[in-house]
Parts: sequence; structure tokens; C-alpha cells
Amino acid sequence: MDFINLAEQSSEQFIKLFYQNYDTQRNLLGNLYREDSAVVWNGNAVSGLQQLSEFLSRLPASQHEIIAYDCQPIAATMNTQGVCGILINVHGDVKYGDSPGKKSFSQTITLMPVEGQGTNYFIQSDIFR
Amino acid sequence: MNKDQQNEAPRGLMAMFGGISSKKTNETTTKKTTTTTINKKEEEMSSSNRRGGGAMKTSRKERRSLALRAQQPGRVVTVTSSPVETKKVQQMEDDDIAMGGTGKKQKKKRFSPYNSRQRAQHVQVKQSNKPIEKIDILVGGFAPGSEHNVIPYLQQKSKKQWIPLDVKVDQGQMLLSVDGPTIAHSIIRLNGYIYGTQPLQIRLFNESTSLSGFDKNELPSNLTPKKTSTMDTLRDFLRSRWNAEGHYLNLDDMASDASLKKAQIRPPGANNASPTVGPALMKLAGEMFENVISISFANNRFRNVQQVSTMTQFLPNIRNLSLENNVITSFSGLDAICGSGKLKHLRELVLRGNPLKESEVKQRGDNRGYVRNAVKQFPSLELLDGELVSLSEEEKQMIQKTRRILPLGTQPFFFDNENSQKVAYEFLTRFLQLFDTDRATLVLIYDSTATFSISTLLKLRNAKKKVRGRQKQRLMEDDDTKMSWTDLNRNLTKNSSKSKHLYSGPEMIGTVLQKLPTTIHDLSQPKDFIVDAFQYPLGINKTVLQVTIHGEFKEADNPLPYSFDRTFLLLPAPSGSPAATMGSPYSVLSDMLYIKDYCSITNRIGSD
Repeated sequence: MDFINLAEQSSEQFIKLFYQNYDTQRNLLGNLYREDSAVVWNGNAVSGLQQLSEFLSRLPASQHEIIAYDCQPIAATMNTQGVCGILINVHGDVKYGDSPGKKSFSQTITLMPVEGQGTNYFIQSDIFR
Repeated sequence: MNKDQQNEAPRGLMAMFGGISSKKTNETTTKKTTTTTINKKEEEMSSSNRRGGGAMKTSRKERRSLALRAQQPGRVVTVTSSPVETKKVQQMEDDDIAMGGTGKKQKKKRFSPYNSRQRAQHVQVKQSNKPIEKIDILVGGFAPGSEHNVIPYLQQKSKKQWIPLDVKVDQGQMLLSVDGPTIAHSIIRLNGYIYGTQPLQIRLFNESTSLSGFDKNELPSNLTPKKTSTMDTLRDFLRSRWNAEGHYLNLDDMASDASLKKAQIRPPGANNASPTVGPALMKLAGEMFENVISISFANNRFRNVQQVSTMTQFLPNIRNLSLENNVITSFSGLDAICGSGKLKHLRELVLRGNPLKESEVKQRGDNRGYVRNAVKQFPSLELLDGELVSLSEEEKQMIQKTRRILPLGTQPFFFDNENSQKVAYEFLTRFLQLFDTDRATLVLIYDSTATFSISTLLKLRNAKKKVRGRQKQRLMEDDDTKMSWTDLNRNLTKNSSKSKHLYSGPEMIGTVLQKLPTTIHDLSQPKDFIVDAFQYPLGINKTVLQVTIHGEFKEADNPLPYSFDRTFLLLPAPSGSPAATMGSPYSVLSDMLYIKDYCSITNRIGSD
């Protein structure tokens, strides 16, 4: 049960951090990803950190509003420190630039623990629609 | 050659030849084979293919199958069988098809060889032996070594289906024989089209003509000018405005162009311009010219770019665009060519001479606002009205904040490779079917460490009494009662009962599954579902396949649909595992389901 709690707490923190940065300090987001992270945005693949940072800079300024999220620890990925990967699913609305309308989005992120760093995670996959 | 045709009701060219009211005239004998006649015929034919201004639509019609055409009013479709006849359509005598290809607007008086009232009589299926009318065409200008692709290229571009009767190649020249003047004409009009890197030279080859070919402009004057193919006129016009070296298409002041005026074609920007001329021009330009980089629409009285908006599709490589001296009053007039994925390479834009520029500049006293807005609409812009676009940091920031053009378009699905796609669809079909019909078996597909949870956001349901605490527990234990989706809601933003509602292990999952309402997922409408799937490594020695589906479903006893998103993480099932025993190559590691009120897929996809 412990690892479930851990996962839930971590997800909560992560989500707060992630969307805050997404909206205000997007350049910092790159640090959460790795070169082999699988990123798909509205059906387009973005591969590699270079492409990712280019994409993030071209994306207009955003405002996300989270309506619902869910997380599941992935027990099969438990590492030696008892931390395991987490599957997170977020639903909400997002507004780009000064466009008048909000669009609903759904984003699924897989977090994996960073080896040897306790409860730090990196984004292994990120799919957004 | 056409004796046997003389007694039949005149159709196709024959009828056309006599002009308008021809129906009963028997001047059908005029199927001469002299070049000039053929030329005429071709002109007639091709003109018959168009309704005035309906340039675009015609080509689509030409592709219709025989059967469809037979059902159109006013058409005569003759099916003939001849020994050399090749399966597909066409090769019709006199190109009845060509005639038939004319749109439904047979009401145009100037042109009704088949009086539409006669339709009933004329639609008939005939069997007769049609003599082949072999027409030779000389093709040159293709690079040696590329001969074998010339025919397919011509077949594709001529937009007709045909097979060469004969082909002879000799040192960079090809003599191609086809059946019938329409096919011949459809190929000959491709003269000048770029094949590879150079334009092809195509002309009719006939002993009686000089090898310098025929000149379309020398048509005998008894052709009613209106019918001289609109498409051909547009093509000629475009050719006259194309500068191949500079990759520059000059469409300035189209309204005063003599050839267009003569053909009475109203270009985009003019009053009462036919809405199809603009798109037709863009399409033809895209087909005829290699790599259009610069294009100018100056002095055309454009109020907006609506009529030429298809340039984003047909001329995607445009880098320089001029709309100088038009009557565009605001940036919204440019909306049709802005947006993600459109004109990605645009670096130079000229908007001077438009009220839009004047009013913006006047308003603010300088052109900063004007420049900013231009960059907002066209992020790749570097030169505006001849001046380098240079923005201060502050301005850049502001544009960033307010820009709303997304860098990527929306794709309906994503798969990192074919295998992922195949596996994803197979898995989803199997899984959702079992979910609807046999959850007991479905349980086996879950891995021993699998987790499953549901979260919901349902606002439109009848507010049921919330089931809390002990009551919920009792319900869970009670095998017979079904619970609703919201009862099992795990939406963590609600901060309630966190660790519950996460089910791990096949046993727990099995119990929950039984409790859920029976569902119906209708997989027969692929457009109602969006699926993404791709693989990535998970941990050190595992690779997981993630499958995400967005779609809809219903409850068995309730017609109201729900929308759902579901994400699965899949691992290959080891042999001997429960998943393998039920025939699934994959077992589910994670299953996360989200349900909300129904909203159709098109609304859910973020679009520009």
C-alpha cells in the first residue's frame, strides 16, 4: 500500500509542477524529458530533446486548467529502492495565446524513477491530444 | 469508318458539330480523320467537358465510373465491346463519356446535344464493334532513361484512363498511339507539363501535319469561343505568366488579361467571379509548374484571399507572396492562408497598398502594430513590404503571449510503426469485445501485477444518491448489484478516498469488472475512435506498448452514449500465462479508464 501512496503523492506534486511550468516557464520543462522519451502531440511524434525544445518554443503561450487526473503505480517496474513507475492521466482545458476558446485536452504521462535519486522522476512518455 | 453509327441517334461529337439543336441531324458522317477535324473535335470535346467555370468539378467527374454516368440525366452511355477494348471505361466512341462528363447542368441551352427530356431513350447499353481510331502522338523532352515512366505519368496527368495502343521510342522521342481523339487530346494538352526536370513536348503526329505540330491557337473560327475549354484557357494564361527561371508566377491584374477576357472568364477578385476559377488556377499551377516559390496577386481587387486559399495545398513551397494593391481591410482577410501547416516557408510578404496597412499604421502612428500582427499570423515571416522584420525583445514576448497558431496540425492517429498499429487494433478489438460480452474471460488478460482504475466526470446524469462508505462496501461485496461509474470514480482531484478504487491484481480487477454496467462499444465506425500506439522502454529490460484510445460507448440498457479515454500498457504475454491461454499475445499491465459526457470526436480533437 505504501508504494501506492507514494505514487499518488508524487503524481500530485508532479502534476502541479508540470503544468505550472508549462504555462510560465516552459523552457524548464525540457529537463524532465530524456532523449529517448516518446512524445506524441496530437498525433505528431516529437523525437529527441532538440525537436522537443523547438516544439515547445513554437507552441503559443498556454493556460491549462486541470479538471481530472488519475494515476496508477506500475508495480512491475519497481526498482531497488521500492520506487516504481507511474502512469498518469490528466484531463482538462487549455487556452493558447489570445485565442478566445478553450479546448479540452487529455494527456497521458508515464513517469519513471531516476535511478539512485529516490523519488525524482523523469518523463518516459507523454501523449497529448 | 462509322457507317454503322450513322443510323443511331447522333451523339457525342457528331451532335456537337452541328451546333446546338442537332438532335436529329445526321451529319454524323463527319468523323473525318484529318488533323483539323480532330483538332476541332478535341476542342469541342474538351469544351463539352466543362460547364462555364466549372473547371474544377469536371475533372472529378471525368473519373466517375461508367455506371454512375449512366444514371446522370441527359447522358448517353454506350457500352461497346470491341476486341481491343480494355476493361475500364473510356474508349467510348465519340467520347460519350466526355459528353456525359459535363455536369448536371444540361439546362444550359447552348449545349444540349442530348435534350435531357430524351434521357430515357438515350440511356442504353449497346454492344457493337467499335472500330479503333488510332491517333499518334509525339512526345519529347524527357530525359533518356526515364522513358518507362512517361506513360504512367501521362496516364495520371491526363486524368483519363487509357492504355497505349502502341509505343515506339527512339532517342528521346516517343511515338505513342492511343485510341480516340479525346484521349489524344487529354494527352496533348499536357504539353509543357514538367516531367522530371523539364517540360514535355507533346503534339499530335500525323503524316499530313508538319512536325512542328499544331498550334492550339490556330483553331478554325467556327468554334463557338465560349466553349473553348476553360481549363485550356486557364492553362495558357498560367503559362503566359510563369517565369520558370525565377520560379515566379505573376498573377497581377488578372482582370485585364486579354485571353481571360476573351474567354469571358472572370478571375478571382472581379465582381461575380466564379468561385471555382481561383481554386482551379491554384491547382493547375501546382500541377504544371515545378516548385512555385514566388507568387504575386497584386492589383486584383482582392478583399480577402478566400478564392486562392488552396495555394496552401497546391503551392506549399511559396516563400514570397505579394498582395500589393488589393482591397484587404484587415488581417482576418488573410485567415484562409494562416494556420499550422500552411505556407510553412513564407518569408516575404507584401501588403502595401491595402487599406489594412494604412488603417493599422494610421491608428498607431507607426507600423509596429502592423508588423507584429503580420508576424503573429505568419510566424516564419522575415521581410514585410521589403523591410526586414525586426522585433524588439518585448515585441517578441508579446507575440509569444498572444500567438495562437499551433506549430503542428492534428493527426487522427499515431503509430510508431506498422506492428504497433496492427497489435493495437487487434488488441483493442479483442479487449473491447470481451469487455462488452465476457468479462470473466477478460480477466485473464491482466498481468499478475496489473492495475486498473476508473475516473469520471459526468455531469449530465441524473443525480443519483451518492453511495458512501459502508454502503459502498456492502455493494462491492454483493455480487448481484451493479454499481455505476461514478461510484467507482477515482478522480484524484477530488481528494477523496484515495487509495481505494485502484484495483490491482486480476482478482480484484475481476470483481470490479463484474460490477460495472454492461457496455456496448460499437467498433464499426472507425471515425468515431482515435487510437495512438507506440512502444518505449520501461525500466531496464522491458519494452512496453502503450495504446491509447479515445472513443465512445453505451450502456446496454441506456441509449445515452458516453465518451471515454482509455490507456493500456501492454507487455508481451509469456507463454503459459493466463493471457496466452486465452489466445492473446499481450497481457495488460495497466488499464486506466476515463469517462465523461458524450462529445463527438471532432470536437475533441484540438483543431485550429
